[in-house]
Amino acid sequence: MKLKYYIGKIVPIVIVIVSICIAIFPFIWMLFVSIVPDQVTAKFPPDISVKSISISNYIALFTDPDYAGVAVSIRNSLIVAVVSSTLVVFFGLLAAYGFYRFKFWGKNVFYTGILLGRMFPLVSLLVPLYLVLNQLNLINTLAAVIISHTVIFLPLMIWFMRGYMQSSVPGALLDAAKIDGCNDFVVLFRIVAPITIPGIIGLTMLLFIFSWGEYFFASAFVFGSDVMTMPVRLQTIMFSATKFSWSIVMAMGISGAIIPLILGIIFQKQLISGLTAGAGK
Amino acid sequence: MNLKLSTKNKIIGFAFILPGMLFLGSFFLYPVLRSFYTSFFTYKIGRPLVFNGITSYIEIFQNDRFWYSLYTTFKYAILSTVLEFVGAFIFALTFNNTRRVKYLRGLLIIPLVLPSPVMVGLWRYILQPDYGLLNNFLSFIGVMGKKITYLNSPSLALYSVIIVQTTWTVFIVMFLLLAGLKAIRHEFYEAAMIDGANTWNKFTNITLPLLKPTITFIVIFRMMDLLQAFTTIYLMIGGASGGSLKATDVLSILVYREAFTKFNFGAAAALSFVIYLFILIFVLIYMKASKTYEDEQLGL
Repeated sequence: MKLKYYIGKIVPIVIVIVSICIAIFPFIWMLFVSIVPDQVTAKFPPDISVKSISISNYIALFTDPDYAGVAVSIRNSLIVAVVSSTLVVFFGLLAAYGFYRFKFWGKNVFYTGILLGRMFPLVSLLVPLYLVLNQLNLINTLAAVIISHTVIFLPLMIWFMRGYMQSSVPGALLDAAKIDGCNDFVVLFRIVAPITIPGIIGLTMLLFIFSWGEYFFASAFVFGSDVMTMPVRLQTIMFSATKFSWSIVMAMGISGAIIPLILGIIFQKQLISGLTAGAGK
Repeated sequence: MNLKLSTKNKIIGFAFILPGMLFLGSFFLYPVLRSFYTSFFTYKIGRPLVFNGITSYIEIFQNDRFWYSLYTTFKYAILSTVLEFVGAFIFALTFNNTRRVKYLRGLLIIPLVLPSPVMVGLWRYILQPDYGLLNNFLSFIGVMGKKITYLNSPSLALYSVIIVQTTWTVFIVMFLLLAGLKAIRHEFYEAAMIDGANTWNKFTNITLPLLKPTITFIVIFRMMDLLQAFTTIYLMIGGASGGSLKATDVLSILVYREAFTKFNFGAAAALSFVIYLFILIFVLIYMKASKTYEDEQLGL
């Protein structure tokens, strides 16, 4: 009996510790690799001496001409993530409200179409979208990346926000507002949006983080060093044949992760509610 | 008057969805339809379209590589989903039922916000055969005599990718399950306790059935994502330089190679629609099989 009691106490603690190790170990190891020379982390146990710790990898990353464009790529990722998540939120809120609030011809056709369409393999969208963007002369511009990210996430935003509105906005409140003479724009932005704001912020954060780290479309649509996004530049450093260094790769990883990391820490709660909005909770 | 109002309402409703629909129409539907059209042609860049009917489709089904890749794709997607799910369930139950660990949950968000190409870079270093952390560690504790290659060996590569990827996706699933667990009312457990149910009874008779909508959602979402997975596998295995290991050739990688190394856009398009068909069949069967999922939410 006593044994059973102790097992009941210890097992959960072990599981909690294991989960936290899985979650934070990669980040800590990455941080460590980035501040010591390559030779240190290529051995086990790593021979740490205070002397070997320095931020020289970061300095090299941002000043060495071999790694030119790293800062630019981070700026580009910021632009892409901000613009595409703004577009998704704007289009997504309007459409979700339209689907939630109105009945009109073809509504279910559109809605089902969006969902089934979203299951189309994204790798297959790459080629035809490339050809369309090429006709519009948008290839190798940030606009191409922004458009692709908006396309990928807009259907999910519509789906999640509609569910969120259905579960958290009382219909009677909207009817009352309508009777008081508010038009639908006012209703959406003054009543529905404030009620669903935790979900909106959470989803926006998810969009931002997704767009920030998206590699696939970005790698096909931009190739100039002035328009590369962070993941694309990271990949070119990771697979470069000359002057390859894991410490530099990790320093780039940390530099490229810092903005989403800070946002994630600030908006923890909303992030989780955004993630779970889709599950109808 | 009434009729007029409702007509006006319909127009307003349509106006709300119009901007989004126009955007998706021009950058999603139009390219996809065009791609469907080209799948019936031999289309190489810089050359005129040559109609070949359903030849591309027939060639796909006759190709052994396709069937093996289909098998690999499902193996990858199903194993990943199962591993993620089991891990996430254990974590979620523990965090839900253990007191005083709530504030630690914040730490689990870290893997969700780190960009996956960054995580892939890190794991490539850890799994590096000659001086990577994992092999160094294994030889340090004396487990291993020779160097294991994780990412370039046909027998280990796919499993390595699955395990590595799970170290961050498990937390996405965990947070979804936690939300589901929180929504279960305490009264149910209290009533069961009065009736003398043990922990296992409570789990199988209350927790699992009430979590079913959440579980269905997770399975559909993860499978939808994993069946078309590309980036993690591609960057893990070889990136720009290689990635021609048969064992890790999921369907998206076949499409990518067809389009961007062979420049066979017609064949790539045909392959895309075959994959789409398999994904749709899977999702529809799964949704029919688990009817608890509210139809309204999916609009089907």
